[in-house]
Amino acid sequence: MIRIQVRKTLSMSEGEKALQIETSLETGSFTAIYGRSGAGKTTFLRLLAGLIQPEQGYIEVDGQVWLDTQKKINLPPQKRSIGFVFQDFALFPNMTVLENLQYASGNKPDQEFIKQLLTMVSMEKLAHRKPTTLSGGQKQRIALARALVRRPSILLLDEPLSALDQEMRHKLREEIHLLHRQFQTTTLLVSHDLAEIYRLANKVLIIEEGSISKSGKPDEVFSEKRLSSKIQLTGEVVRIVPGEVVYIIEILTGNSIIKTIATKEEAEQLAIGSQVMVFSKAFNPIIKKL
Amino acid sequence: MNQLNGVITSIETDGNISLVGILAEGTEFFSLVIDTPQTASYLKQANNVFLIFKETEMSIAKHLTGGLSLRNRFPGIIRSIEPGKIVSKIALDFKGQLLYSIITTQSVHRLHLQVGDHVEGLVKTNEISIMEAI
Amino acid sequence: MNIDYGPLLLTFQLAFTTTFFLLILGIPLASFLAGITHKSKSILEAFISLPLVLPPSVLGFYLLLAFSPTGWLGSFLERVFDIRLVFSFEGLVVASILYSLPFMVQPIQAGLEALPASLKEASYTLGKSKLQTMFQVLLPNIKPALFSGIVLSFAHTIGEFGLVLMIGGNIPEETKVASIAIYDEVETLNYEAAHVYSSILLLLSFTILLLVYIINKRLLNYTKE
Repeated sequence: MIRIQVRKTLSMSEGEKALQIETSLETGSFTAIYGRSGAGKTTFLRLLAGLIQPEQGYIEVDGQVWLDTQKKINLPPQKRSIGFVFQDFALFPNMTVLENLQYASGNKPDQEFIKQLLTMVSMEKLAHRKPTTLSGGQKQRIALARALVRRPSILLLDEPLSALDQEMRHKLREEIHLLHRQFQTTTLLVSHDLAEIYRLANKVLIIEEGSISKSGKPDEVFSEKRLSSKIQLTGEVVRIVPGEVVYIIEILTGNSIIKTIATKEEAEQLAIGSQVMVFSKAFNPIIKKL
Repeated sequence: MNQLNGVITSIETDGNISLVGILAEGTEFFSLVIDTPQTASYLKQANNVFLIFKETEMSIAKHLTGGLSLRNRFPGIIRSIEPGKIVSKIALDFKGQLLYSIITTQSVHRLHLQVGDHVEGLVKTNEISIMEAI
Repeated sequence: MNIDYGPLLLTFQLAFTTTFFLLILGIPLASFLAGITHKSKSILEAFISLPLVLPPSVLGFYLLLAFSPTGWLGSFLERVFDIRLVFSFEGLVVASILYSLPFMVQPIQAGLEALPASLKEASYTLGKSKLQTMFQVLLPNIKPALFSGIVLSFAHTIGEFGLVLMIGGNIPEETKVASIAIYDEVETLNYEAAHVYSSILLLLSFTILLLVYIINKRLLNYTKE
């Protein structure tokens, strides 16, 4: 169980704003943090990691107190059991892939585990390459593997896939899913990719104006409560097939692809990768027992 | 999607299903929803809502006579026809609002639909979604 | 012709010693400056950069006053440590460190500031101390900057004249460095010796700078790979 309560004043371009967050996470859970840029999502991760200090707060991770401003307890980042994946990956350019992982591993590198991690992210063949020679997706895999080397209590992912193209996002999303299943590391993911959140997270926190405005399961939080349509799916546009009068839009939702039609004007608003909601009245679908 | 702004005028509920009457542009529309005023806060008399229905769910009728189970019938003038091989898109002027209908091109020919024709738009009650207007 | 190579030797001895201490002093100072953002940063930066614009004789004059056995610092050092910094090699080293400080600090600071903050933070989250992070992550990634700092400080120390003259004087084997020796030889119209010293310094300075440019280019390409 992870209990978090922090308060921090953010100085933004539009003036000062208070970030005030209180939540708890189940050990082994995967939680997504969603919100507009500037809402304080990254700040929240950095507060957890101890990279910045809150004015007031309490953080307890699996029984260990990391931060208690009342009792003046404040563990430095080094003493907090975290794996942090940065938006820019933050791989050390002077070290090879393997050395990056070994550096994380400490004085007595657990070579077996490092090898296992490299294999899991399919990077064992590139172990002796320098990070600058790798593609974005490969860098991201190494950053993930490196963050897991110390078997952290919490894995913090700061928009880990935002710098990648659509196809690579898909692949890495699945890899993150597998890694989470394998290690059951409590994970916090900052993302504004709905498909990513739906695929990976079992809980989502929406941060607005510095505090949690909504939380719950992704489908509960994101479904449009103001709409009468009973069939509502969120997904990602994967293909747009133009036609004369109507276009066919293919949407990935969960593990399945659904097809729906749209007018040309509607299709022009969409692109591959667009996050969409598909809704329909409850009266059309026909149910057949399998 | 087609969208019309209207005001809720009647709500008839049985079990979990409600038939909602909505006045839009002086015409009364009906929508069948799996919701009740208890489950959906926007189902209130005089509440401002949007009617939403897909282009493919709107039919066109010309010189319609006799009985019809369809509740949502509204007059309009054809402003444009965008023909395709299989389907065509028709823009219907409903009291100044353009609503689109996608029907088979065969039907367009069969009904001799032309720009300027006075026709009727038809939508089944279960094809209209209601969205709260804010 | 009998040329005394003592002054040249002394010059290099001074340059080596100064560069060595500058490196030890410059890294923490540069990393401190790179890490702070408040107003005191500008004051410190301006102070360190003073030797870039100040006539060496000004710095020399103040140091002479400070180091003099009758000044408070000079008398303190002499009483407690039995060190005299005027007209001594040790004094030259201290003065040279101050004089060449910006040449060491500025490149390293710029190098550190150019590194993304996430490198440092990533290292911290991997459990590494500030010191480990500095030596294993930050410094290895600013090799060109370190190299520039070392070479420029070294070269700048070789080129000192006014400062040495002010606080070192002209004591053979102690403070008579090559630049002073050249002045000395010209004064006594011994142009031949002055030529030898001058040409050696000229050749050397050019070689050093050439090396800096060549090696820096390589280092930059290497880090880009």
